Amino acid sequence: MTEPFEDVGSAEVVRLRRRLDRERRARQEAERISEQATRELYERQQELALMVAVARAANDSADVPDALSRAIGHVCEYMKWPVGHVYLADAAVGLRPTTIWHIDDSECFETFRRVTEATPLATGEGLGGRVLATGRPVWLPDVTVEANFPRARLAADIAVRGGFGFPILVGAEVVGVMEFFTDSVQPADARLLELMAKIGTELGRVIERDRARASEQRLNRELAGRATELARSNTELEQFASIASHDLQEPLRKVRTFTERVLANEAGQLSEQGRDYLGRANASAARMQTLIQDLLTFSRTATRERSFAAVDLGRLTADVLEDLEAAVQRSKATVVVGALPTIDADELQMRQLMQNLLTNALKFRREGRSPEVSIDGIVSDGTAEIRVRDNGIGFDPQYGDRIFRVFERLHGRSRYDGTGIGLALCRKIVERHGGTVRADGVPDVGSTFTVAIPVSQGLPTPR
Amino acid sequence: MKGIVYNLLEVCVSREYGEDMWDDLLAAAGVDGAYTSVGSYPDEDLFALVAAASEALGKPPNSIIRWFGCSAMPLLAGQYPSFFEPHTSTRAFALTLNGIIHPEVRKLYPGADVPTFNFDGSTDDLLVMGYWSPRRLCAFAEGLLQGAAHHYGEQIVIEQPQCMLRDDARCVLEISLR
Ligand code: HEM
Ligand SMILES: Nc1ncnc2c1ncn2[C@@H]1O[C@H](COP(=O)(O)OP(=O)(O)O)[C@@H](O)[C@H]1O
Ligand SMILES: [Mg+2]
Repeated sequence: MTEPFEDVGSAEVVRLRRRLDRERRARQEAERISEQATRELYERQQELALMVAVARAANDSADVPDALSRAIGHVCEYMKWPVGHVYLADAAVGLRPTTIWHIDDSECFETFRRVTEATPLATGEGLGGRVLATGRPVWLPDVTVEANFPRARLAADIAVRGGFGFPILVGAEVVGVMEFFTDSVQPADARLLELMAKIGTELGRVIERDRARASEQRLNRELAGRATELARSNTELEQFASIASHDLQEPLRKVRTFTERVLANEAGQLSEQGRDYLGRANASAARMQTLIQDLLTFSRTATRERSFAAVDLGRLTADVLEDLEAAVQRSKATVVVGALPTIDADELQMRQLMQNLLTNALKFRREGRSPEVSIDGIVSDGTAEIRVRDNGIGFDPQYGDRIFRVFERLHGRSRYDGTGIGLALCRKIVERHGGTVRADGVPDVGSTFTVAIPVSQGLPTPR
Repeated sequence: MKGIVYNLLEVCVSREYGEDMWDDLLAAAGVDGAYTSVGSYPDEDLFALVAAASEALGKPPNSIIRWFGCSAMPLLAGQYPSFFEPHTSTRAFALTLNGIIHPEVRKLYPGADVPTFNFDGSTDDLLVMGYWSPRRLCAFAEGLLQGAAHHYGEQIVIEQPQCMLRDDARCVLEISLR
């Protein structure tokens, strides 16, 4: 009867043993799981730290090489691999090696560096070439047994074994390849390749940004180039103009002096016809002088430095009319001047503008009718609008634009004297003040010229 | 299945039938039995244990599963009171399964494979839950719901006009207050 007792006891012990064993194994399993979770957390953290470091390199590096060199440094540190290098894509060769490296033991990997820098890779060739061809990361557990790894054949001992490369991507375009090497055989690591793909995209952004910056700089350079060219051609024009003025005006002045001298002193010796011819020659020379003067003024308007100041257009108009006093008298014109504003402008050019418009208004008058000219101005929305109206011959509205071009005249010189430069000059002046000018005409009724110029040119307000 | 399910089953069985019963079920099912809550174990273990219990207690497997769900609920309520406290009815509690409870479970137990229900709460006195899972554990859902009803002091009736165990494409649980 002792046996069953013992049996019961030992059965209970066995049970308890089993339970204890189960608990122990459950605990070990729990510890294993928690260790693994901790390890994964740590790895995830390291990955994150790497991503942050690369993103930082991408964002605050001085230039692309700096960003890439910092990035490969971070990757090497993360992987504990001694060698990292960058190729840049090159339309001509495929991949061009750069001198951007991270090398932990420069002596040991010297041969490898030398061979690499001397060996561009065609698409599909070697590690980088395959990355370039596929746009995907490539992992080589042991480069020395690879058929397609030219650098292993180029030197006896390149000191590297495990290697992998991944693309630097701008969209789907491979713009570069980063490669990393270590001195032992390494099995492929899918997670790592995934991480590197992210880094490749991040670094692609650096290159993308650099490209945008480069094209902006190119554009700026082009613009700057054009501006210099313009300045040069302006200077040339001015030089030409001043040479022309001197070299053309001097002989002309002589022609006029001598014809006038002959007319004054030798008129008696000349025939009636001779005097007429000489008179006409003199008038022609005088017209040519005017033409040259006008052309000079016109070309100088284009190159003149901006010199804006407050200009009282009322006073200025009064001055101009005083200069035109003789013409007003002669044509028996009535001129009515309304209120005119004060605006920021180049005083000399405003004078030329008013002078031309008023001269035209007096000149293109209808036969048998004394001119009635009115000048007035209004300001609205920061724009001064000046109108010069006359009751002259007017013009066909279809020529409203043409008359502003140089040498465009609607009337023969036999009836109305002139060079056809006045209105072209007016338009140039107005445009240099950021404004517009338009002409409205009705044949045999009259014309209206309307100038619109900003009141302010952004000058500092005077105290 | 996550180890927590096996741990819950162990507590339910031991409490109701004694620790030896659990030992016996493990032995009869031929499973290892060392379960830790965050570990993952084959679904077959659960079904083998249910089959062993069915044999030992002379009850159909599904009523074992239903009983398990119902008995496990107070344990869950003790462990995760925050899922229960905001509510006063089974219906309100159940409606947070897709949005709160099971998503949280996924965070606490990495790799947990929890079901998503299709709720239809358009009628006030009837809650309709569509359920689909390759494990076909509608009886577990029923038991959990009954357990929840108990927690809120309600009495509910669950009907299944459609059930995967009767070769329907999915289960439809219709829950109403008695
Ligand atoms: C009435 C309320 C609930 C119902 C109807 C329900 C239903 C279910 C069902 C049917 C499964 C089996 C998995 C499958 O079908 O494939 C399941 C699994 C699970 N549920 Fe719930 N559940 C409820 C509440 C809860 C609560 C409150 C928790 C815990 C806080 C919870 C935690 C779990 C866990 C841990 C699993 C196992 C997942 C796995 O092993 O992969 N459930 N639930
Ligand atoms: N007030 C005006 N009335 C009619 N036609 C005008 C008026 N002002 C200018 N024009 C026309 O526009 C042409 C160009 O004017 P402008 O450039 O000043 O040259 P110019 O006065 O030397 O002829 C004139 O020849 C004339 O045909
Ligand atoms: Mg003129």
